[in-house]
Amino acid sequence: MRRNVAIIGCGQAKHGRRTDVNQAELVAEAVWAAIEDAGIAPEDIEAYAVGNMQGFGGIAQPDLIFAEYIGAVGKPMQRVATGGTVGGSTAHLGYYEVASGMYDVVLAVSWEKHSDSAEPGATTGLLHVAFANLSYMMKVGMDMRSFAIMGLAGAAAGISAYQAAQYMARSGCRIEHFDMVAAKARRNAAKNKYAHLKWPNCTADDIAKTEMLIWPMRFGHVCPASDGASCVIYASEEAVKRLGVERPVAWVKGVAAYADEEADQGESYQGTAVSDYSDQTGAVISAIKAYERAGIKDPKKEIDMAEIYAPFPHQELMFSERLGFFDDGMAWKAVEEGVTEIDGDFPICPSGGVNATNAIGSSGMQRVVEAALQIMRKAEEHQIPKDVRNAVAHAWGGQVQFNTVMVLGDSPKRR
Amino acid sequence: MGLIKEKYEKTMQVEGEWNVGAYRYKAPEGYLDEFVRNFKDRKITGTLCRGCGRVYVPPREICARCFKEITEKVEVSQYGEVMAFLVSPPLEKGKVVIAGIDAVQAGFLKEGERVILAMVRFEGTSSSMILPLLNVKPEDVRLGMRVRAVWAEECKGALSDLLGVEPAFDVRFE
Repeated sequence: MRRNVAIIGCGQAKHGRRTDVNQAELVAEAVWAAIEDAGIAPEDIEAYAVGNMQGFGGIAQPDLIFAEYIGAVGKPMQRVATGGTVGGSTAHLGYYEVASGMYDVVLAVSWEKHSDSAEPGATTGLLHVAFANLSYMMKVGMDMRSFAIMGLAGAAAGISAYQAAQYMARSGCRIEHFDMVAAKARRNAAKNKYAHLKWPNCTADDIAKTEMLIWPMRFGHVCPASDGASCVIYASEEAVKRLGVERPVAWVKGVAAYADEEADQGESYQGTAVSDYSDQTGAVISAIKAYERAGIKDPKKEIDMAEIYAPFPHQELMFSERLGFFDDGMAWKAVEEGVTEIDGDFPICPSGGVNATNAIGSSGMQRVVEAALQIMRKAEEHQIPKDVRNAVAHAWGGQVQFNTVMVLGDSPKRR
Repeated sequence: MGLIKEKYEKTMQVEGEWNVGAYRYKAPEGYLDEFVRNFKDRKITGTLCRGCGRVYVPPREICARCFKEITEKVEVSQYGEVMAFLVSPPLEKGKVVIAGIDAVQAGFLKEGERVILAMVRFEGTSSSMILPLLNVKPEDVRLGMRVRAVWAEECKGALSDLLGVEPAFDVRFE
């Protein structure tokens, strides 16, 4: 039987280009902020779940050098690495550890320090992911032109660009709707003191003026490569009472994660059966399962807001449909009507989301943090005005096939 | 809190380079050989899963849907459908840098050219390949259009023999 688990504290490092700290200090910034927020002593924490995208920050195993910075010495500490999804997966791991009855108080933190790498993400991260496949393709006669073309639209950004075209065909939306979503992300980020790309009063027209990188994706649609860390502290229902936590907490009502077959090309250039990247079966199944576990029957009515992992604006539209907040192909109409704004009926990414701040490892965890802050009503300037009873935190990554969904609420699920 | 933050305004960058020597990657022996060898005869070969009937191009060894080993090779159509496409702006020097190499400067891509990339599903297959879409203006490309394979003048049995795809014949009511 799963135990009820609450998020009793949240912490974030200031996200952006952080040349004033090293990785250990960046992580520590989020961890100590969370410990302070929870109002507990470091000794109260029984175990640590840590997560980081592998190799994107110039150090392959940064977790090996900072146990003492976060008070983990002499305690269990495990690292998670699931690509872009890692923040979501680490948040799940911390939850599992408390829900299972193994520990009562667990700290989960994940981070990224892109600026440590010469070309953010690319030099040490993407290349080591792609190196084997590229070597193999060269062996069977790939020429340099094809190699260069891959550089033109490769990796997650490349796949996302095809995905944007497929979502347009599926929903009937236009590039202008991507502009609207990106402008909302930058406007909302301007109200969030931890966010990276802030642009107060940014309009869709401002985004439309930015350079077309590769149709249908503009410069203004692309997320930044940020440095940052996000942290949550979980406690069992008993521990919440024992520690005397009196401030509002956010309860984890249900989680689910689903891995799909990799998109486009698998290991050693093998074909895969995923040829519509906008389909995202993994997100659909994760959502259904997480809602079932949370006792949510109608997500459109019962969920009040969501933090979606959307580095590119079409993904906010696509995932908000896959997660059941809008009917298929209808999300862009909701954006036109302002439904997803901070003061709208169904706010999405009031923090500015991943489109405005993307420290990859941190991003999935940051969705959990931001959803929890909305429930605790501690989001300050970007606090949504309406009541938040239930919120969804989503993460996405891998070769577009990993999805995690966490449903948070203002009260524990009664069993 | 941290030492660096308190003592210094910013971190310093330490330049470093380390040749890792050999990197050994274990790839399946020979499964792409036939696929690539048949390019010499301008044929596209896929694998057919007996479990679910899916055809994979490029070939796949184990079907991810039924987890069955796939051994049967099949020739597939030269015609396909554009599942999605991207259009690059006219290329300039310094815009496409991959692994430190400027692709335009090095001559791999032409200055001023607009590359159209298509996600192509060949007829009867369940998978897709990313290929350049040739001999068409960007404004004439649409999602779902029918295309056919374009081969090099002289095919040697290498991945580079398949240059890309181009629009199939357009049949309209007159």
